[in-house]
Amino acid sequence: MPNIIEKQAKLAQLRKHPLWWDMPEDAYKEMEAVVGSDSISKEKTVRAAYVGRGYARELIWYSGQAYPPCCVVQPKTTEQVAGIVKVCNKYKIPFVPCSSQWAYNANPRFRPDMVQIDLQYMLTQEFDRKNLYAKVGTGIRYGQFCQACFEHDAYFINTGGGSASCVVANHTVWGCSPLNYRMGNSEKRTLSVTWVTPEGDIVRTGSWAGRDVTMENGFMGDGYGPNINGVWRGHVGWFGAMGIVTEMTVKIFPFIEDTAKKMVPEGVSPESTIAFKTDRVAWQNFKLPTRKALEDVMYEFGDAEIGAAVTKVPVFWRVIAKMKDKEDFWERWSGITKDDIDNFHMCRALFVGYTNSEQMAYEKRVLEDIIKEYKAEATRTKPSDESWFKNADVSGMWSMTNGYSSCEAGQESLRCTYETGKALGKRLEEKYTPPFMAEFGDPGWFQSNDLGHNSYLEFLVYMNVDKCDPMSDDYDPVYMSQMIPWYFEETPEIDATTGFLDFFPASCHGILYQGPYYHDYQVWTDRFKEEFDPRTVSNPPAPFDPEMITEMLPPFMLTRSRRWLRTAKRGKSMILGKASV
Amino acid sequence: MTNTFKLDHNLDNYEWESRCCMGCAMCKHGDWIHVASDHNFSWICPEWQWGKFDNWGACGRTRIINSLLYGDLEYTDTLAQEAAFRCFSCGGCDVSDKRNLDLEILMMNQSLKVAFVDRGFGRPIHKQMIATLERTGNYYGLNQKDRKNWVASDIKVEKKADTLFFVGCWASFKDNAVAQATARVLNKAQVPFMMLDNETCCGNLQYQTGHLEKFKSAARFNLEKIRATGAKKVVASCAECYRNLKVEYPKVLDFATKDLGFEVLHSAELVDGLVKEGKLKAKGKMSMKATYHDPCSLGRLSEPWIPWEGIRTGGDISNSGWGQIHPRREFRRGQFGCYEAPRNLIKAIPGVELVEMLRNHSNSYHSGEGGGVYEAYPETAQFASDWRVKEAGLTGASAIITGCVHSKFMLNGALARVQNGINKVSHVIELVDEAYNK
Repeated sequence: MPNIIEKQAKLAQLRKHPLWWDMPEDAYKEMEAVVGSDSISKEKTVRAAYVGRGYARELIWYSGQAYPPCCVVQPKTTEQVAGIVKVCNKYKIPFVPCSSQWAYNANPRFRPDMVQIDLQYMLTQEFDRKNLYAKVGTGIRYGQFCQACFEHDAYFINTGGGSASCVVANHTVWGCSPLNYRMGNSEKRTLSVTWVTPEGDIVRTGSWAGRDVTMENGFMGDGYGPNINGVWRGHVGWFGAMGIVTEMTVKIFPFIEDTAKKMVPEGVSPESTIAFKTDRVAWQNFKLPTRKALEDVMYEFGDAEIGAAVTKVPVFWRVIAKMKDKEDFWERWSGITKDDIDNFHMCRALFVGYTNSEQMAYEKRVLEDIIKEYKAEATRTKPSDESWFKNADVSGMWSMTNGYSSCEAGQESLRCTYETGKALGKRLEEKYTPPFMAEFGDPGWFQSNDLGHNSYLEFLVYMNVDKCDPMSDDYDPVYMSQMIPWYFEETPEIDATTGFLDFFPASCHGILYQGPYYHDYQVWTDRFKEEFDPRTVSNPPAPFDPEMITEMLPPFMLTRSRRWLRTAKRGKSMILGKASV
Repeated sequence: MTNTFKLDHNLDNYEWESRCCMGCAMCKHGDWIHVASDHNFSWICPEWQWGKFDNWGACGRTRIINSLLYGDLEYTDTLAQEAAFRCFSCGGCDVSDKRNLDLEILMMNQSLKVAFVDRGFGRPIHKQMIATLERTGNYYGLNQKDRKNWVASDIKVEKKADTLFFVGCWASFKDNAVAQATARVLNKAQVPFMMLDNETCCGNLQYQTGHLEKFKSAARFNLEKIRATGAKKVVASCAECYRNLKVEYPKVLDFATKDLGFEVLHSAELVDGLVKEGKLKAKGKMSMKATYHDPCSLGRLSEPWIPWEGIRTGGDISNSGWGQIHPRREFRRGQFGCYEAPRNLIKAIPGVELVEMLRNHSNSYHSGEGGGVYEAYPETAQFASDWRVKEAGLTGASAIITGCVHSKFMLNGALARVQNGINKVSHVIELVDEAYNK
């Protein structure tokens, strides 16, 4: 039974600020005038419901620094968003956007004085099937958007964030899925955009620039002059620190006439699925004899321009797919050995006969030639949508530990992602198991991207949440201190060795982008921030201030990282100092 | 360190849930495969759809409960209204969450209601209705002597039989047609049945509004009476009575459904078996396009209860740790609820075409009657039933068939507000009675 007095004492030690902050009444009234009294609340009940969720929540939640917002506001239009942002600027009250619970941005919050702008009720969803794009508002989630695409004989991806994450949010950060192999990265799929700047100005980009924000005008990403989309975007974006994108047009992709409409749900949860018309859509798994063969086969796929998705399958994915519950995962996982991992090289490819069944038959014949050449073994796959069209990993990836983090994510050549994954797997196994879950040297998840022009790597590590969470009876500060160097020291060093461009530093470890190795990228990022957000109200710190993170964590942590940070701030690249590149 | 806990209605036992919900929002929108393209029909939580802010849904509620357990929020009447008592207890959030994380969201929500009631923050209307129930044996304050007035002269009820028909308050007093249809179908199939001499309410409102101790008393009382009859099967046409007898009584009295001493069946389950055995044959042909509303009490909430008490091994980083529970248990994910029996019955009737709504089976939306919401907050309940009828209208059906007397009431009420081609709401046993008896 939680002892409230003990819990409060512990929280008092952890927290840097009082939990509740009351915003100025005048500011509240001005916001109320913008959205109406039904769409704003400063009730503690409402505010408490928005604490600590989204990406990187572990770091914030487990440090006791997840504060409730000072109010929650739910705008319905771009103009209302701009109005709220202007009030925030006037009173210098920071704001943070969110949408579906999951992934508008991380809304971990380090301070109690922020306005939560909840965008889940901006629900535009229009289709121009002829010109293959759709207009979406911030509340539209992948699950419903994918279904809507099916209904228009089209398809779209479902990203790693899963069906509950929002289309607009995910296009401002990431937007990655195995289907990126055929469809390209999200910046290529993003067309016209309405962007509310951190000061509350409304900017239309792409072919919406200087025109009405209508469907017919939303056909193109580039507008007049420079492409402003680059300011608010970025592979992992700003996480709300560069204003708010309120709507956009995105590319959709043609799918088989009549077949898409027939892709209807079947079965009772959690066994629900979408059956494929198997002569037009099919997944194919095949085992390769070596990791090198796996990598080479992925190159071959891109070369032959076949497949709709080509991805490496980590062993734990398969165990998650088969497990009944957390305990079942561990029972199955306890039977996995290093030999199993070393000898498991599975590639999964999706085939779609976009034009007709002959196209798919042709691609499968090419596949057969390739796997024959590489002595691969085709294995059984389900003839149904198990992921990526409508569903994706979502919380299933948390199921075995209730906590994981992607410690690395980025795009490089297939060769580089493969080498980086291998190095990360090896280092994790040798030095960090424990604290993290044993992965036995698995090189993680990587996929061929953009028809083989690059590859995406995301390396997941699983932590024991009870040992990380100060509010747990099992909290273990030593465990935390074992974990932290993995993120702040080991992975950047491996990146430097293999040349991998990890995008996380931009959002989480800003220190890593300082110094000549990264061409002082952080300096340029800061200049943009200062220019567009002079009052520093758009989800500060921008986007994550590593110094603030280190300050808020308990003092026994990050001793080395603090030293590193100080060195970095003097202008010397830590990367250059640690590895030969 | 290990943490011993029990799957019961003590909110303290759900601290893990309050910490480990990571905000995936499946509790808002349900099974991702079944998510509809139209936002209005993509919700599984009617309370959240109504209230809009996240305190009205399970995901936000986990944060609120965490704040309560850690002393960051206090129990207040405002909090009771804004975080607990508009919950329909329909379990949509629970089965959605259990696609992956196996958090006990519904048990947590119910425990929150219990915690509020124990601190004196129960809703006044609920208290009033429960007082009426204690005084009269039913929520309506009607005379128990009139309880069997529905038994028409052509209905044959045995003094003693293996099958006991638990009629329920609503069918006994408010919607006699369902009680009569059930009895006639059983008569037709030559299934002798008896009834309790002085049946009293199953206590649904008590359970769903957090009055746990009062519900335990009702459970003990009713179980004693049923067991005294020697019945081998108890049949209910009321989905709430069915769920309480089969699931909630064992749950609150801490035993397994299999140890009830009798089998609990919904009339649809019993009659589906009879049709399959050839004991009932439809007369003539009907002409109807119908859709089926899955009542939560008959569907996702009706899996048998298995008590569990054990430990969670949090700190251990061997393969036995990582927050695993010991001993292992079967999670109730709503997968094995009663979904097909009523559908089988509808489809077996010549001339009746069954069409599915966007949200069906375990992903079904709520009808608006449940959790005491209709009694305390009728506007929220009607909001839910209106959206369900709107969804039914999209199928092109002219009738909604359901397996719950309260769903029938709520959806019928919505017909007056939502005119979209649906002109009839029936209980499945009424449809069977019409097809097989008339």
